[in-house]
Amino acid sequence: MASSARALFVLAVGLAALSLAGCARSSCATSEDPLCRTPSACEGLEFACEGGLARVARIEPGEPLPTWGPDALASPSDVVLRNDRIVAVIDAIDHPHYVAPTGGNLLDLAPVGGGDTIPHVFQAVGLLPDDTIAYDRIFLDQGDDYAAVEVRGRLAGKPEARVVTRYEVRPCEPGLRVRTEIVNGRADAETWALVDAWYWSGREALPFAPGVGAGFHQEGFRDPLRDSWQEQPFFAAATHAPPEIGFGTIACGGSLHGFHNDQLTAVGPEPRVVPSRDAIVFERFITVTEGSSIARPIDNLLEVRRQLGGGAYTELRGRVAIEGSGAITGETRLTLRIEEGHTGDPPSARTPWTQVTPDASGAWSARVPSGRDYVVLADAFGREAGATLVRVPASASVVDVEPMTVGPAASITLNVTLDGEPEHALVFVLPADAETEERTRARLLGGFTECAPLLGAPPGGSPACDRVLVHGAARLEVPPGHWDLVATAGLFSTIARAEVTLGPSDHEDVSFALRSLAVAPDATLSADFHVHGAASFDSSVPDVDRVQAFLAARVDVIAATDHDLVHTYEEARRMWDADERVQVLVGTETTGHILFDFVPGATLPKVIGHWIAWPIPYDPVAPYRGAPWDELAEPGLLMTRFEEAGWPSSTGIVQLNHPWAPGQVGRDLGFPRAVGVDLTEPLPRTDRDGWDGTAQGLILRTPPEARFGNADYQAQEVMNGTENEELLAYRAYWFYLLNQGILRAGTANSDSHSLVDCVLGTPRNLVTTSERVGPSFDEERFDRAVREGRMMGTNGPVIEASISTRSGAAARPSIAPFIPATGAVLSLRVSAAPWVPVTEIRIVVNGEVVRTIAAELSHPSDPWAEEGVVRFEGELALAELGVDPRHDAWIVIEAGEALPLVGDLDCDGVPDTGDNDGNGVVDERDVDRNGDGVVDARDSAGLEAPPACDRGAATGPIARTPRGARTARRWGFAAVTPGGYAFSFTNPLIVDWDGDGFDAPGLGGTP
Amino acid sequence: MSAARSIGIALGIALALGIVLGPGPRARADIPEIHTDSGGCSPTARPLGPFGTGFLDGQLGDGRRACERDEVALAEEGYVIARPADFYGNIRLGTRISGSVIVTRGVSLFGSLEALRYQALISAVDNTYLGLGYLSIGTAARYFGADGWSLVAYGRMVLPSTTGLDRLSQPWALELGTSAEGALATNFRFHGVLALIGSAVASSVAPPDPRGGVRLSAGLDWVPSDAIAIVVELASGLGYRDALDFLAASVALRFALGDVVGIELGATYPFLGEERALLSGHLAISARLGGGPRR
Repeated sequence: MASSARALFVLAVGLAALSLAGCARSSCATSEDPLCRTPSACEGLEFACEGGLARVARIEPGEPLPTWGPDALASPSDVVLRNDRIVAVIDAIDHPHYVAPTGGNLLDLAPVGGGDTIPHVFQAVGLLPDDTIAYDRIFLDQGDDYAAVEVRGRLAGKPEARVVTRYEVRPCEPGLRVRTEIVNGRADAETWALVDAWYWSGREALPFAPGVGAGFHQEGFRDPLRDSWQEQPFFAAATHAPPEIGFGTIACGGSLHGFHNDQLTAVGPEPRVVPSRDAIVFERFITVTEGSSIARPIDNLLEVRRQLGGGAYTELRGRVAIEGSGAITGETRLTLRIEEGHTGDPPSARTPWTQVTPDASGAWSARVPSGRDYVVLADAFGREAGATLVRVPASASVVDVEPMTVGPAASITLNVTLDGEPEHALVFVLPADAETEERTRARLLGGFTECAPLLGAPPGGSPACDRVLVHGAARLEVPPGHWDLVATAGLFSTIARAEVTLGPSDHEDVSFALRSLAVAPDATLSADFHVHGAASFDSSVPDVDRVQAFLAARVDVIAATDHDLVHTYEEARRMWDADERVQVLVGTETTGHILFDFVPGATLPKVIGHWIAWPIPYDPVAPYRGAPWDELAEPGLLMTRFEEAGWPSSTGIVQLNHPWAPGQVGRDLGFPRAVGVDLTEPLPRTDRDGWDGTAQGLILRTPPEARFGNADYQAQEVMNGTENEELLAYRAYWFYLLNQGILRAGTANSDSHSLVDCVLGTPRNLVTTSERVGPSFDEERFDRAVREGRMMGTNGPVIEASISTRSGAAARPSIAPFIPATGAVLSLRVSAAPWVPVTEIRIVVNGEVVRTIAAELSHPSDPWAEEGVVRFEGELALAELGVDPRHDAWIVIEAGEALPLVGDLDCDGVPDTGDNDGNGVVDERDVDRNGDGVVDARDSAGLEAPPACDRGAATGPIARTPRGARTARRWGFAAVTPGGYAFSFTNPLIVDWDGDGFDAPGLGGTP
Repeated sequence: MSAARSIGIALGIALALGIVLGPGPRARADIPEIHTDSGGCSPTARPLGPFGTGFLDGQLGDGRRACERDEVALAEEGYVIARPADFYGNIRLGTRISGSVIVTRGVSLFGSLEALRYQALISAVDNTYLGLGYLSIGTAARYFGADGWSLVAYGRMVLPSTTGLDRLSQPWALELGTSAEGALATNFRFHGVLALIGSAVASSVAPPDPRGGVRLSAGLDWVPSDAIAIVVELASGLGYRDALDFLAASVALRFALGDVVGIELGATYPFLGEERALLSGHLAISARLGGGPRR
């Protein structure tokens, strides 16, 4: 009775509701009908032009790809929308990118003729993996006066919640209309913050949104998180490296709500409670324009706003001149910020509305809302250099702003030679006194890295921040001041310094004559196995500058390891004739974005960090250009996918990157840290036969469907980045594995993403090989040397070490075991360019420093000269080092400066905290508890007693090494190695006394 | 949604309600013995009938007591879902004003309004709602009242009355059921409800998504004195969100302060089924105004 009555009842109510609801449209989100058509976004909007068009098509194999540029990733099966103004690419359902679990998102967006510089724009309703949208169907809709693509799907973790997004172009429109509908088909209410998420990842575009005291100064995440969603009329952003492109979004009806930081922009309707069966609709117009000024996209957004009833705008026009004959060479030299308010108002009380860089003649224009007062602020080298007030009547369509003038710069012509010939080099421009530093310290539009001076956009091409790439001669404009100029051509040549004091309009010619030094041994190639260029989602340094940086660093071998794709730098290599001097190994760095549950006991889902593989075959039209999809896989499964993508497992390299780097945006960067390995406990050896179910056991397990174990990689980064503050943690993990007989080659890489964040080639590897750069280079043989660990890592010092073997040969560092001769000795030679400080050599046996050599070292008398390369040469008996014939052992030699004082406050065996208060003890008072980047009394307020050593203890940081006084001997090293201290290490010498294989000493085992 | 459409929908559902409820009070006046017997309904102000689960909005599925009264009541309600593993929490607190009036012999009208509703959704991005909640109106007709037992047929309609919670969809719901109450033994009283519930939304975006289910509950009041009762109740829901929506147990205390003021305090715990609530409960204070059995 109950069931039939219930059925009748449901039917009655359903029919009643259907009829009562009249002709209400039901969302295509819940429809299986391919003809269901979601309404267009932004009805009422109209742009007119002659000869407009709108087309939608799937990209067919063999067709030319519709987009170009550093972030263009379109491939066959993706869908291209184009009109006479823009081109947009929606990725195919089975071509997911980055955080999105499926395709159906905005992959490429560019003005017609312009390059694509957006990594990705995807939709989500929150911050958790379940909150992303898994599209499963895609429909193309070509109309007479529109072209559209509609994608339908569900929330990734909540399939009852159905979603549709319609992307549409119309003739003449400078952007894309987008409408997303999401219906809560769940039985319970949800909290949804539907957003378009723009993935900037730190070194791409700077987001901007009008707001009191806001503009480019966006707070990003706030506490509580809900408060991060700030109301804003629109948002815009622009990239600051070629091809310079601007973007913007405005909601069609109502305001945008969202947040911005240098990693992410998330904007959408106001977040709210969505009851069961309620829905959210988000309509927006996304514009794209050429140029690095956000005024261009904002001009379009204000026109949309006007048409949709949001208010009139006025066009401001003006002209700026630089005193003398100074040219406006770009946004760093001169740009204008336009803010609502008055000249006497503090910046926190003004509302920025737009920003524009004048053209070379000084002319500029920008639209602003009508009927308000504005201040036009001129920035030169990132510092405010002038201001003028503009009153904009409500009825004015155009207002002419009175001409502005800013002061002149100084200039320098740099000329660098190496061994008497013009050569590629990197020149640092550093303040020579505190007054100059204070007067020139700036951020570009308030964002990116702080620089003194700011000579160019930090993530962009040369000049970038405080440095410039030169090839022979180069002219450079700088703010007036007292400057040190330091030129470098890599680790194995001299560096040179010049001091100049320049007033306004002053000019100076500065020449540097660098000399090559015999530091690197014969039969070695220097290599950097971790570099990024603009193809990476978190880099925008143009390929031409990236390849010039290869040459300026005088690195022989580069592994091209752009994130999540394969890139070859081929065009830029050809432009510089680089193949004669640099061998490029083509690979990729995988980058976990989608959090998933794989760590037992973890509160939050995780990713597996970053992994590099090479060689990977490059495919110029394939998704990810030949790289495999890298999400939702443990390392062993990832290696399986590498192999399926063409990685030769028997000869290629997989490298574990920065194993203990702190996470970013909730994503771990290193696998061991993600797993939470306890270095005081051994790894469970249940690898091949099963898994013991522990997090620690993940390190050695072979995941389901994988042909490799999680530890079946060949190399691990021991040094990563020029600022080597995490070095001791990586070193601890490497030693931990060596002690357990898990022998992996140690590498040293710059992980450079720009000309600023890390100096390419610092650090680097010196690989012992007979290969030479050029057409005869045998990559397989070279990679074999890397797999075997026949190399050392360094940011300056070079170690040559060998032990006499029973066979009479000399064993050099490698993960291949050898049998030492009776009474064997360790032969050691340490050399370095004179500017590299080498104050101690450490002999490490089984993870313990058993001998430190300091007093015996020689030091060059002049760090800027050529003499004094060899710092130590001698022999040490193994017996002297405590290596006795009863126990196998491994030996690593390190050279450089003394290691910083560090502690392990959470007792997991990993150094985590430095002596930040400088009292000679590392304790809880050294922890930056409030996360403000400074360790001071506020961090230890309320601490009554040292906290117990526990795994949840607050830790860190280990500080970067400051540049220090100009008079210090290490100043030259510090100038060209920002944030680092001198360090080099060999791969291990694996002592196997009886030749029966290496018996690892176990944790903490000293011989 | 336009006002005209809202009115149309309301009228349509009211008509349906009238049809389903069958003969009106005039017809039932032909059976006078039903109304002359108290049906075992307590003459005190102590609350009676189903405790109700409070799982659905607007008291949908909560049943209706078989003993009607003229009464006004004020209740504080709470409902909590806590699913840390899913990063999901849902806390609902509300103040409800209810009333019922006996319009003619054996027939009553009742209604309740969630005058203040606070709802906090807890996830990575939290959100809250504070405003008017749901309105429900209904009618009950007694069709049996003798030998210490009373049975009514009732209908309840839940109307979309929130202020900003339902933005693009307007939910409508209907509950039709029968309720029984009577003395089982000295100091023990039984109450039970069998009901059909259904709902759908009117929306410019979302589909109507009609849902329907069955509610069955039975409870026992231990009444050591007229002034106090301890109630245990088992309730089940079928077919509305899944085959088994829930099996839930309720415990409540009921008090009478004289013949006018009644107090009820209790909670419901769903221990089986798809319902995700950790707990729901309410504290209600009611005042009898005149109608119904009296001492």
